[in-house]
Amino acid sequence: MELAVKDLDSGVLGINLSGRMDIIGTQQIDLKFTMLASTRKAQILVDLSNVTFIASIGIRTLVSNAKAQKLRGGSMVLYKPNNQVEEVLRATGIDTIIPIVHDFDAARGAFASP
Amino acid sequence: MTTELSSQIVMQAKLDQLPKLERWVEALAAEFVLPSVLVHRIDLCVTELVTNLIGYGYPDGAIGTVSIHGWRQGEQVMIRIEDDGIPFDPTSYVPPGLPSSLADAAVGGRGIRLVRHFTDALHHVRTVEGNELTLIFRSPGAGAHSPAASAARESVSLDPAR
Repeated sequence: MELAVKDLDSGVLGINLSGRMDIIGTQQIDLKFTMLASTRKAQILVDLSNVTFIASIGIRTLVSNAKAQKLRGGSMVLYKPNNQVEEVLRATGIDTIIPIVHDFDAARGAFASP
Repeated sequence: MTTELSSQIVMQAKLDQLPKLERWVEALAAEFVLPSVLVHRIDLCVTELVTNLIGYGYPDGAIGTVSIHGWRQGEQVMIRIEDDGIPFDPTSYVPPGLPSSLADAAVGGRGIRLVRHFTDALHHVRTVEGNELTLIFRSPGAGAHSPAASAARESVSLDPAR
């Protein structure tokens, strides 16, 4: 997997993930993702649009960091997962604890009312 | 019931074998001419189960052997995973409930929930060597938990005509 950082408007930190988020892919980005998403208070937009597959180990990383960010007073949203990735997230109820959005307006709304 | 198509892979229960498993699913999908939604479900379930096996199936540190056999009967695809690990029956495992809040959410423990969600039926048999788990998938059209899928569960043969 690969990870790229993008500063978005309104002080939102974009983390773009790409590739297959199975145990091998997740191990490749986990440390860097945690450094970015958990070590300081922030509004994090995790761009999943180039994630082709997600397994439970990938969900673990998202949940772990969303929880840590919430404890710091920040928040996280999941942006533009493809249909299959979104189906996996919804099957585990992730959409009820981390907002899934498909446009920036919805992301801004989610950050405004965490 | 006649088996139309069949494919098999034997691999070590090691993480570095997972790309081999992924390629096997891709080849099976092409050979069986499966729709992408079904391919994803098979890919997800075998990835979850084999990852689980690698992590927890061999607590003594042994490198196990996993044999996976896929076959198609009409609109149904069966995947049978045979291992030589410790006993584990995912059909009797009760996954934790869905989280009510982020604060209450467990960090992990979602793999078996996904397998049960994305299969139409699961059958586990404890064998002399380890476990034999058969996953049944219906082609999209009938939902995973639809009455049609339930009816199909009753009529499917679990015996691949090798």
